[in-house]
Amino acid sequence: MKNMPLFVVALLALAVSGCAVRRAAEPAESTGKSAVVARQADSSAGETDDWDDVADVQVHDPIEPVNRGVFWFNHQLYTFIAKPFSTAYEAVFPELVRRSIRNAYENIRFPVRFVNHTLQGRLDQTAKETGRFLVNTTAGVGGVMKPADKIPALADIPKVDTGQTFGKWGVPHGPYLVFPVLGPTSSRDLVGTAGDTVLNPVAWLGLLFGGAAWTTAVSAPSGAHGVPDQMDRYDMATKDALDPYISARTGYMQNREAAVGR
Amino acid sequence: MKLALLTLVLASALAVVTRASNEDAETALRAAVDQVLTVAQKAKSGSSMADQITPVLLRHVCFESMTRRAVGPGWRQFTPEQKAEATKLFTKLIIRSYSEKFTPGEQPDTKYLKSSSPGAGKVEIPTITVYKGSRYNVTYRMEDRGKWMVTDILAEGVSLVANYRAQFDALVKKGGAVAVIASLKQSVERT
Repeated sequence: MKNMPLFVVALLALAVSGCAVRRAAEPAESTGKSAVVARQADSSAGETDDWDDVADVQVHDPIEPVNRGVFWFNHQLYTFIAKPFSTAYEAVFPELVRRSIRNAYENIRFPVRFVNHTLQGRLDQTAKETGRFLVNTTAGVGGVMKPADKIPALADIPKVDTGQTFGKWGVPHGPYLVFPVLGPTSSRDLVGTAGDTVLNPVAWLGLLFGGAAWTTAVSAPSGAHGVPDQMDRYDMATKDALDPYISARTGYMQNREAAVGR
Repeated sequence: MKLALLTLVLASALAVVTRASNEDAETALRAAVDQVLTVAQKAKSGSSMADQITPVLLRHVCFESMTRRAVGPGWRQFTPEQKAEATKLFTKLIIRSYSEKFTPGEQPDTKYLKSSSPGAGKVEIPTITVYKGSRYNVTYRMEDRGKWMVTDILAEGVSLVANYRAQFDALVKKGGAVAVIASLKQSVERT
């Protein structure tokens, strides 16, 4: 137990805490689970309408006031630090260079995809990922280009990560959390992110040569180079929202449920 | 024997009708996407894009259905005037939001995947859209409303309608139609 990685211990704790079966009518708030489920007909009105087929996004958010506080803090951080950084990054590096860095980073994260396809029992996808990695690494000059996109069998492999694998195994989300800088996650996906970091070769290099700050900067969900894309996604989720916090939360949960369903 | 034959004939007929519906919906979607891209290619900035893209989207997107579904059962409490006002504001918000996704000069490449029909008069068309070097799963929900129209868009699994529903729910509970319209007005006026 002493030598067991922290994220495995946390995963086990999460699985044990969330193993109760939720009754059909029980709201997510009372069970610690979050889900995107087909909305039931509005029985109070005694009739159905076409709004009943809209997905009901249930989120277990027991510390919403705290999460809202962190969300506000992140908003300031994104507005006054990350966005100026993003603008400067885009001004310094032309689109072609930015795309190449993004491609190379994505290519080197191959172990994350290889291990998770395998853990999900999708060996055909494991084989395709391996083929894609070999093609992009050789013909794509270390992954800077993506020639595998031109090969239909290798072009559209579903994205995978460790949190998604846990979801496929039936591990529930647990409470919804908003972390400073990193943003929204769930307890399950937080452990998943730790797993992704362990599987990310860039993080290994960071630990060997650069220490924790480097590891965090380059191996966080999309790395420092991914800040412009993250800012785009943040804007998409919040800019025209009536309640940006709920919009980001609902968007996160739907996106993760879709990933597990793929 | 006769019953089995009849069942087979009906099932075959249903399959043909469904296939025809899916094809009609896909044809309508392709036309809509092509028209949007033609306009987007000509537009110089986000604001002029919103102006130019509005008539195209009004032809192909059923905003009334989108608004009604986004609000949910609380829609019953709305007067006809409030329904019209909410639809007008929500339409404006969605079109503005959609227009801002385009960068002038950047053309997305859309690959249409196998469609499915979750119910009569409904078709879901998944696509893979490559935009600025990144691949996105975008699914269009279409409905036959005399002609095939888009009623929801799911980007990477995130339904536009479900996302707004979660936000409207709290407003409807808090202040009904008045709160919904006030919040929509505030968002539309925000630049």
